[in-house]
Amino acid sequence: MDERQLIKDCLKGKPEAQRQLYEQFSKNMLGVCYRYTKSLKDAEDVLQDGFVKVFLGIHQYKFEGELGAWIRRIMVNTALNFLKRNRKYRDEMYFTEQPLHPVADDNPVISLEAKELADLIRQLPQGYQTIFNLHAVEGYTHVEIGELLGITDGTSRSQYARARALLISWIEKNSLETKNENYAGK
Amino acid sequence: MRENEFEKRVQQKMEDLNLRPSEEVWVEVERRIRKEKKRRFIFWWPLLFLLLGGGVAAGIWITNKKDKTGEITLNNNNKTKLQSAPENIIIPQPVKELKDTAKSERTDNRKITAPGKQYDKETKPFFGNTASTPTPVNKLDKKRTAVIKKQKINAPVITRDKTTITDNQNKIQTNQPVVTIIAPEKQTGILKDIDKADSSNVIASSRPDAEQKDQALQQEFVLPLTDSINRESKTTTKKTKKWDWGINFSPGRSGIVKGLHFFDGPLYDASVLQTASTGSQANISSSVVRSSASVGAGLFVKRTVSKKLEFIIGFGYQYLSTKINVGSRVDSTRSINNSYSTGLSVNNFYRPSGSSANSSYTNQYHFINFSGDLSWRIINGKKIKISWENGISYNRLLGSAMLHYDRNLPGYYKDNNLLAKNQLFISTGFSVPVSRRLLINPFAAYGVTTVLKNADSSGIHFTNYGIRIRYILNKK
Repeated sequence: MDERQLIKDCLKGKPEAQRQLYEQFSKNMLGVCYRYTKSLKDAEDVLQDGFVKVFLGIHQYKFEGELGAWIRRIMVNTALNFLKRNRKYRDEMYFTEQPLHPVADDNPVISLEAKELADLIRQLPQGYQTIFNLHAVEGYTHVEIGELLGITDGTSRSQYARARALLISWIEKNSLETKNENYAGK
Repeated sequence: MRENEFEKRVQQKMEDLNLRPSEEVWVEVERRIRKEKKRRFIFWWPLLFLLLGGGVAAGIWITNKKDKTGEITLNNNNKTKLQSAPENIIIPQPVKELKDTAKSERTDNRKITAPGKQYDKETKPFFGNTASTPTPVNKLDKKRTAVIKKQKINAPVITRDKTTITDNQNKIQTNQPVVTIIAPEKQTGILKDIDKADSSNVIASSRPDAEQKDQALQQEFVLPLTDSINRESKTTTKKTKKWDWGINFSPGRSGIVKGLHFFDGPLYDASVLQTASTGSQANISSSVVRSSASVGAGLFVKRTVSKKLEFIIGFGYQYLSTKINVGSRVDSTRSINNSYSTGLSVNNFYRPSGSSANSSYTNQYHFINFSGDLSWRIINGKKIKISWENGISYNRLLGSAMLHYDRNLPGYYKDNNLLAKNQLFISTGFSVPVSRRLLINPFAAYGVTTVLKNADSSGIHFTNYGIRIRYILNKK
């Protein structure tokens, strides 16, 4: 079905169209939600909230830009609201200055699978995780991140630098371990 | 550039991240969508009930009106005609099977009258002069006396019971409607002796032996009774005009409150849209929403149901407003994404900063409304009349200009889609007539439905208070 027609049917409240839209985007959107949370259950909760907003607010989609991008924005915002609402995340969402991790190569080759990389990102401290996702994956500027999270753009920059360095160090470590395993395997 | 390469690699990897959600997610999404639609549908029920109630009430009134001025059909298919005053009551002819000795008495008894006074069409009938074979009053047995028990006369009451017509020798019982007249206490004294044998609610005829008794009856009972009935007749005629209509105008104040706090109690601040923020906060706080001017105008129809009860239905326009401090306007395109406005692009917004935070903005709401009020007269003095008025109104939003606070912006943006289009108000107040045409009605109304569509905003309601001025146009 044509995407425009699909949206029109969703606007009319047709269940089969809603289901089709959900099937089309739910897998990718769960990936988005997964990166922002610490558990799959929480990710599914965010996905659920996000799709409810999508279907109830689909009249706000003006056919400007891709539908996937619009849904993704909703998912990201829903995830951020979830983090703010949920004490488990909120309490860890402090932005303290931590030492910058020295890295040998700040542009490493990523040999990890998508899910493995996502799992590494999820192991970052909550504040780092959020800022890294927003900047590195979603492409938000530090000014926008500052406005979204209620912090200064300078704080966002420094937090991102630390998150990035920490992640790269883990990726390097992981690559090294993989090499060693391969070597041992030979 | 080198930094961007890492980000690109991460982005590419993450684009490939697809995870299959469990089936429960869709089931829950579907359930919540249906629930929300159902909730929105429920908003229409009050209007439906209001319309149905109005229709039923109108039907009852119309029927009642017809009954009072037209014909009343009784169970036994005999018809009794009332013409506002109890002059023409047909007492049906039930006694054909009666004994011959009773026949003549029965015929006479169709027209029950007090002695000494002529009650017929030409003069001033007491009641019951339209029997199928009307008998001139002067042919009646003048010694017959109407015996009426009970205390007060308000109006003749027609009940269904056995009619007991008594004269000196004959007691006739028929299964026909009875005309019962409830006489004032002072007037019953002289009739007590005659009355003893009868049960209550009967009309009895007797033949007092002495002419003096007739005269006494005439002076002490009949004339006052007749006058009383005549007075009632006039009153009844007056009451038939029960519909009034006119225009109303209601200046006042309106606000938005959280919970049940009414006037300027703990108002909500405009950040209600935003969930709790995290970490370091921007040093910008949202403004408290203040009450502002409101006005309403429309037409109303007032129906007097009884001496104490009136029903008023109205239709009109309602303007409500609130004020907030918003700061200076920023003309810049921003994408709003919060729990309420998703993917909304705005071309301008208001950002509070420094002294400019004091510049205020008026949120405006335009409604069309349908209302129904019940007015109960609680003080009915000669000089002061006060009614307690309670009502319900359905308001449909025609247009609005409302700013919402977004902590992420941070500032105020406009999104009229957030407002609930259907609002239900309950109101209470007092109605005081200052002249025959003019009524002053201080009132307070509360929106039982929430201002915003989103369920998370439950607890935010409109309030409105002021003075409603009603001017009746159809009174002279």
